[in-house]
Amino acid sequence: MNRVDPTFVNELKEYGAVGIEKCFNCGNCTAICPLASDEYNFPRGVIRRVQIGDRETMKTQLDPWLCYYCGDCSATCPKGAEPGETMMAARRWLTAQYDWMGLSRKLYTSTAWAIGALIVGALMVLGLAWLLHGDLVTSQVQLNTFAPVEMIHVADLILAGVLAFFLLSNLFRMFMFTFREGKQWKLPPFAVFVTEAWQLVYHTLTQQRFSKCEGRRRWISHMILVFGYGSMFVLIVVFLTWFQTDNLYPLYHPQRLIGYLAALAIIYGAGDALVSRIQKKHQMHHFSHLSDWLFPILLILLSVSGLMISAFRYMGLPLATYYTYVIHLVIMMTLYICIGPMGKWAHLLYRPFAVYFQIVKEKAAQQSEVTAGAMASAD
Amino acid sequence: MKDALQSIEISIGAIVVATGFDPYQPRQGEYGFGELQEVVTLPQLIRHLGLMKAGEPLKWNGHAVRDVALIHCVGSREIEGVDEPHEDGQVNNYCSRVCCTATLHAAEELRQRFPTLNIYDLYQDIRTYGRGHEEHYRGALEGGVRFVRYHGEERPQVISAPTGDTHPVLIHVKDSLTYNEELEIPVDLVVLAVGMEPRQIDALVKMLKVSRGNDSRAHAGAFEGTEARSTRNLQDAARHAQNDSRHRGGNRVAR
Ligand code: SF4
Ligand code: SF4
Ligand code: SF4
Repeated sequence: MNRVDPTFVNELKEYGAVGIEKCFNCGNCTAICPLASDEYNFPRGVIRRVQIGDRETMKTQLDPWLCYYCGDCSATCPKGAEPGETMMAARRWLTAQYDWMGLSRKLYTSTAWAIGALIVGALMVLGLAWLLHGDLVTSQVQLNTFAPVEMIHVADLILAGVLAFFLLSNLFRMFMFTFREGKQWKLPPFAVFVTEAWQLVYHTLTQQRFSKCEGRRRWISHMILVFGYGSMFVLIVVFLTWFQTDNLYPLYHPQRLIGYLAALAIIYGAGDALVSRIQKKHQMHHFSHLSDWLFPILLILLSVSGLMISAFRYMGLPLATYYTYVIHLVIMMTLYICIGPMGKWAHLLYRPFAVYFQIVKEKAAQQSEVTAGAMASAD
Repeated sequence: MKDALQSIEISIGAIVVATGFDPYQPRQGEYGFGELQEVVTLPQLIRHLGLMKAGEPLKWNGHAVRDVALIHCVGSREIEGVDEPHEDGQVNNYCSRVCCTATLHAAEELRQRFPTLNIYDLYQDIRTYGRGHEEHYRGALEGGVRFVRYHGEERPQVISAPTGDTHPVLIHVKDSLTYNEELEIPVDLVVLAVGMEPRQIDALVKMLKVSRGNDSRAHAGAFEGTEARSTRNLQDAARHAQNDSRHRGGNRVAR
């Protein structure tokens, strides 16, 4: 039996929810939602869990990740209870539950912590740059003398390793919450995880559920952002020695072309999100949490500074190149510390995994029904 | 001489029968009433609130009240075969029609006077008859009152909390808004929204030769005011008398 806990509503408000109490559970929102189903009848189901303070069930729910904030529910709600925003806040809350360090909660619920983390990230990079940088050659641009690519590559790999560690350990907690009831594991057969693994790849790459949600424009601009970001990530973590060079190439050279395209894609995707947040045109952008601003802003700054490094290099401005390079690293660090595995960035893993887990659960349930049916007929 | 009874004769065109009502008195043990000190009726709470000074914190039996639950339909909308019959062998199957508004009004007042109080409202349906009464529902809802919806077949259980619990009383209720899952609500005070019961009307029935419904209320025959034919609030009673008089070509009864 669930014991009602009246404090949960206020807790979720710290994560940005508004209007939960206005909801009188009519269910119009769930009826209109293009992504809800019998099994996953959000957003009302989620709102109700919040109203009665059922943290335990909330923790196990995948529902918030299955919503892509088309905003239809909020537009339909007769009470102005903003159900879509509750789903958004629930995603932040879940991210904080998955994060075993408890940092996520601080970053989401306290502006002071978020800004503090930005400053710490910046100081870390500035300190390291000051200690480790090479000579500042001014006769010509020699970025690899100032910041030897081998060193940077190692730093990148360390950073990627740290990120992966936190992200995967958080993901494991998500897995645990999803497949446990109380202290008991309720694991579907391992074979189902394997046979459905392609769904994970498919949904990561296509975000096909997102495209079901309202007009496709937002989905397309989000896809552009994802591919831009993904290619840049691979370039930097895997191919940095090729990517960071002092050679001057013609514009059509793949090193330049891929870099520019990826940066422009990020600027377009993140810029689109930012502009509609400012204009509040779309339902989902009526309310914005600090993290919703920081993520696109930092992504844009990251790409712009990256493009500037290249520009200064080709213009032959050594000092401008070196300083911009340091600023570029500062932005990258603040991005990962502030909204990395403990923040909004982590949704790039949680969303596809939620869809995957959901599919695995459904398939396993179907199978056990079939087995039960077969056993019954054998009797 | 002045005080002696006098019979006077007046000639009239119509009689408005307003029998009045008594608030339903819960049975011993009904929702813990009479057994648990923390269970009171809505009229008791309203009286208590009226006697309190402004700014005084809400206490019951000397204990601070942090969480309070209001239960609708106590002694109303009872179901034959589910609820225990009363002395007359009947269940009160009628809706008392005023308790929803009265309860929500009380919830709103509690919310305004004690902003940190957690208020639960256990209802079957919200039946705020009357113009403007739904506003109290909206006010209570937006003020953060938590609504829990039960079905008449399975009324909430009010039990004494085991020792060591943070609260003296627990309510167990199947909530149809949460997929009929059973919830446990810890509270310091339970308020029963008791319905109306008709008064003894035997003499009246004889005198006016009106028939009687199986809920021991008077039936058609004259104009009926509050509580004669069914429970009514003032708005309803006035409108009803007006319609009846029109219907029979009588004089218009002023509102
Ligand atoms: S959020 Fe709005 S539409 Fe959805 S159940 Fe609540 S009141 Fe109804
Ligand atoms: S925002 Fe869209 S997808 Fe999300 S719950 Fe509302 S209607 Fe469903
Ligand atoms: S008015 Fe409301 S509380 Fe009273 S009996 Fe009717 S439904 Fe129940």
